[in-house]
Amino acid sequence: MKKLLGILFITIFFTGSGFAKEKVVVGSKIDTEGSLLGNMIMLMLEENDISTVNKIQLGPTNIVRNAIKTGQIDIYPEYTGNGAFFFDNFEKGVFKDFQKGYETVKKLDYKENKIVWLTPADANNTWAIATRKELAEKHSLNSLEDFATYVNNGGYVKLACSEEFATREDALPAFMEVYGFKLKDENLLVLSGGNTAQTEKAAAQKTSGVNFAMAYGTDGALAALNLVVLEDTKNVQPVYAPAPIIREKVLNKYPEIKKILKPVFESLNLEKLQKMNSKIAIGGVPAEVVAENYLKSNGFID
Amino acid sequence: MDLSTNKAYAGLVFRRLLDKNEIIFLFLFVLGMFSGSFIVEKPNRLAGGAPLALDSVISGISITAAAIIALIAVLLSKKKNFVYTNLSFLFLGLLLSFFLWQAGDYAAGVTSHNDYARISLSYGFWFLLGACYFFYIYNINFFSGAFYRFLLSISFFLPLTVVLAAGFADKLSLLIEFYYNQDRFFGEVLNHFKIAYGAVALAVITGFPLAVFITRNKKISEKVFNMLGILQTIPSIALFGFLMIPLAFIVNMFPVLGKFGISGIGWFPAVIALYLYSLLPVVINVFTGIKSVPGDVVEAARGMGMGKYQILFRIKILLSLPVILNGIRVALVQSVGNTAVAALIGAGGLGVFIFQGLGQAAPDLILLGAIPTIIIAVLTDSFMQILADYTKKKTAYDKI
Amino acid sequence: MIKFENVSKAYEENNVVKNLSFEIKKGELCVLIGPSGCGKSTTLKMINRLVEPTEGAITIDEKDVRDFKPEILRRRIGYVIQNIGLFPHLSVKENISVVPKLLKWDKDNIDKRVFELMDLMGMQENQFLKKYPSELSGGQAQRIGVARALAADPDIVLMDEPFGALDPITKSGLQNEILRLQRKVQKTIVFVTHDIDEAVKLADRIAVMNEGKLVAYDKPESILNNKENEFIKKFVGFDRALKKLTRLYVEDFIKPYKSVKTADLSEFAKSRTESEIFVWVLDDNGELKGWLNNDDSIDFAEDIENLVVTGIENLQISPGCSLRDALSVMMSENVVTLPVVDNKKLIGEIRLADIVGNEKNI
Repeated sequence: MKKLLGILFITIFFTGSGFAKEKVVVGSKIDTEGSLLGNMIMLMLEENDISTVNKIQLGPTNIVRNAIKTGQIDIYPEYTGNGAFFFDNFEKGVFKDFQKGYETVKKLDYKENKIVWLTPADANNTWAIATRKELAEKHSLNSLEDFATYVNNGGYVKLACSEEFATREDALPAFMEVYGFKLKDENLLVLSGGNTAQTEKAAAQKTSGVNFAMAYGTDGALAALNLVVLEDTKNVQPVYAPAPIIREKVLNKYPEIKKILKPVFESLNLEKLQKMNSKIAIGGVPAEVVAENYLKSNGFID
Repeated sequence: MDLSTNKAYAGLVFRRLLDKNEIIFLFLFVLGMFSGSFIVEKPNRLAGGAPLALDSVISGISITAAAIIALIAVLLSKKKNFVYTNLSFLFLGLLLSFFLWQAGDYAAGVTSHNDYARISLSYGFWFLLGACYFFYIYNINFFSGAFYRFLLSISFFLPLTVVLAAGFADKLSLLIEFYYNQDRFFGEVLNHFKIAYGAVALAVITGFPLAVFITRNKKISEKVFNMLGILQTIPSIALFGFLMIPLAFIVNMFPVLGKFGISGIGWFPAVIALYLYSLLPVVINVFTGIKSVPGDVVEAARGMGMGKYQILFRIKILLSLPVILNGIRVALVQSVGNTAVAALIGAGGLGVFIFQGLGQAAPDLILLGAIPTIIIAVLTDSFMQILADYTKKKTAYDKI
Repeated sequence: MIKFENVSKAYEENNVVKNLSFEIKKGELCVLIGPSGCGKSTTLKMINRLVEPTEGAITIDEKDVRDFKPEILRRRIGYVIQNIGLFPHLSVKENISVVPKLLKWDKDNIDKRVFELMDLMGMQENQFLKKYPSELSGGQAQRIGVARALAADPDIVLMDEPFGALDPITKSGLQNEILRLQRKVQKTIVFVTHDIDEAVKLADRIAVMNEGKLVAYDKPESILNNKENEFIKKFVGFDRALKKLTRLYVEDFIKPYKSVKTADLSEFAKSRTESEIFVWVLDDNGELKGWLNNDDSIDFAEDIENLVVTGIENLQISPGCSLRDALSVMMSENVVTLPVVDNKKLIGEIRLADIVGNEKNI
């Protein structure tokens, strides 16, 4: 009996993640870009002799947030715009501005959770509406203003989107309000789970008559599926800029992390992210490989 | 005789010649072979693809030959003779591996021109595989003895394994996904085992004494079974989510626990949930096994001067082993399946690929997670069955 | 050796055993008998503490059974039950070895003892040892059950309706085994049954129980002769006289016989007297061939040999048979005299008059 208990304890001991105090646990969300950025973080840390534990593609947003708050993971890439989701005591509209949004979420997350937001990338991976290239060309749709005109002239719309996109105040309702168009229930195909890969595929394959899709600005599938994004000329959407966020305790142990990651994130922009996402999603190249290639070709690692 | 009587006669002979299961097999096999979608050719990983029938991959003559070989395989199996059935399985195994090889060849050809293009196995192939597997299960049951069954299984599965191992199917989408994710794949397979089997191991260790305890107490036994039964009705995702809250609370109170891996997310809540699910099959089977030991055997043991625990371990449990092992089997197979869902809370396991695949709308990534899960479940089931049958023979119980 | 002193057992309101007091002597085969629910099984089980009395004490050799730990006590007492309860997952050898192993005998002693017991039970073939209970017939299984109970050479053996589930032939065979064993090893056996014939056949003394009380405790003959107690009379049955005959054997009642060899038949015919009604006829080997009626037909016969009544195999009875069996043969063959044959040799005869008249001598 005693032997059994001993074995049990040793097992828990060793399988307990993060027990090795020295290593930094790097996590990310389960999506493609999360995996890309997470791998970049991990490779940069390793290059600078900081040992890491790989918890990349851990799960959806709430799981990953929970993980960092409970110390299960130490660092992961998050989006500034999500500050509106995590907190409520902020000035309305502040997240529409790249700088202001970043400052706000940085302040709030430090105050409430002792989580430090490091240098962000100047890329806006925000919600958008996309459609097939031929459709856009046929009806001269370049921006959401054009889209509003199309809708108001009785154009056929079937938009595939997530529950969240359809109902969240700062998503579709905001678009409709600012651009002045209305979409009814019959114009929407709501998919639970909110996955732009599915909505984009639906629009590309015209599944169930879908011709428009919810998308993220940096989605890798867009080019591959021949979809184009309708420009948000009126800046309705908050800015979702990716930045590494880290627990203060861990940053204090390794203060150099800030300097290590700053140039990398500063070098990223929308097109570069889109291209890399595309390589992963369409080419099927593993995120680690794409991340490594990028870091190598830009001299961040050798 | 005119043509109609000839046809009727042939039909009669045919019907007498083949039994129901063999007809089903041949029907599914032909369905698979002539399906419009044997493989799907996609310009890239995410785009929709064009379905291609079997004749795009192999010649018409080969198709006819395949059909004939399948028929021969059926006829060979009719005698239920070990050597003939072995041959029959070998033929089918070779057929399947031939299809796979040719599909792989086609994929290699296409991808050599276009790096991004993807060739996926489609439902035509899966039908063929399913039909052959059905045939395998149906026929293997006519043979007893783990050794014979093992040899027969080798004949059936080896050709496919050889084609895969030799890399002839490497350019198929499913395998490309595998190679890109190779490192993580084996890690997650190990995780999957750790979580699923670990949870059941815990259930056995704790469920055993619990079951023994409630055999002596009828009122408590009813309550326990009620509770465990209710647990079974909770869907796994719900239970995972439900456990997150109290666990996160506890870890916040005592952060040091986090160092041991105790957390609201990850493998810890997964193992707890799976442990709770595994309790019912284990406890109820240990309970039933112990209770069904014949009263006179226990009375004789008591009268001879065996102590309580001697009776429990040397008599009751040994005699109940087949039933107990069955319960463990059920728990294991159930756990393997549920562990796939645990990826949603960050526990790892093969579910990781399933959900990544769902997230990226990449069906072959989903299969990369789903197929090994199914294989593990089936292997676990077979192994435990063999174990249970072996112990059943040792106790020669059913003859008393 | 085993003494019951004012022993009672009550289950809640129900008094199953009421104030039982009696003593079983060492080496005695005591049968507990009575109708269903009379408490005989409960009484038996109080000896090895499978049941604990609510009042009174049971002592073995003056020591209270409660002074011993139950498991220790039971390992020194053999226990055989109706459904045998052989352990299905153990071989015959392992089944028999259970108690010796519990008593930590060493391997060689155990093996020796197993062989002894198989010999004792008349199952010498080695093949039996490796078999599993599911491969044995009912009779073989119960023999093994008895062997298992005797394995540690206990002084006391408890048997609870052990032959109840067997067919009559097997049952009879096993009863004979017990008698034979008892003659050899002289254990103290307490035997529960509801079959009065079995009790009469086996017991040194019978304890008759009814509704938890001891009604009588005496030798079988006394029980059978009891004409005062209505319960005993009814329980024993109308045919108690016949039952008594089961305990008497032909060999004790053989009478001398008159026989003539086939070769000497003609001589007999000349010199015969009126004294015998018939004579037995032996062939040249001295084996019994038939009988010859000693009447006038002899004088008128051409060939006296033809008058000999042959084909009398069914009449022959061995000296070991009970008087009850002899009576049964007489009735089925419609004769009043039977030849007693031992090893094909005629050694005497037994007559109906000897049987019927005899019970008066008991």
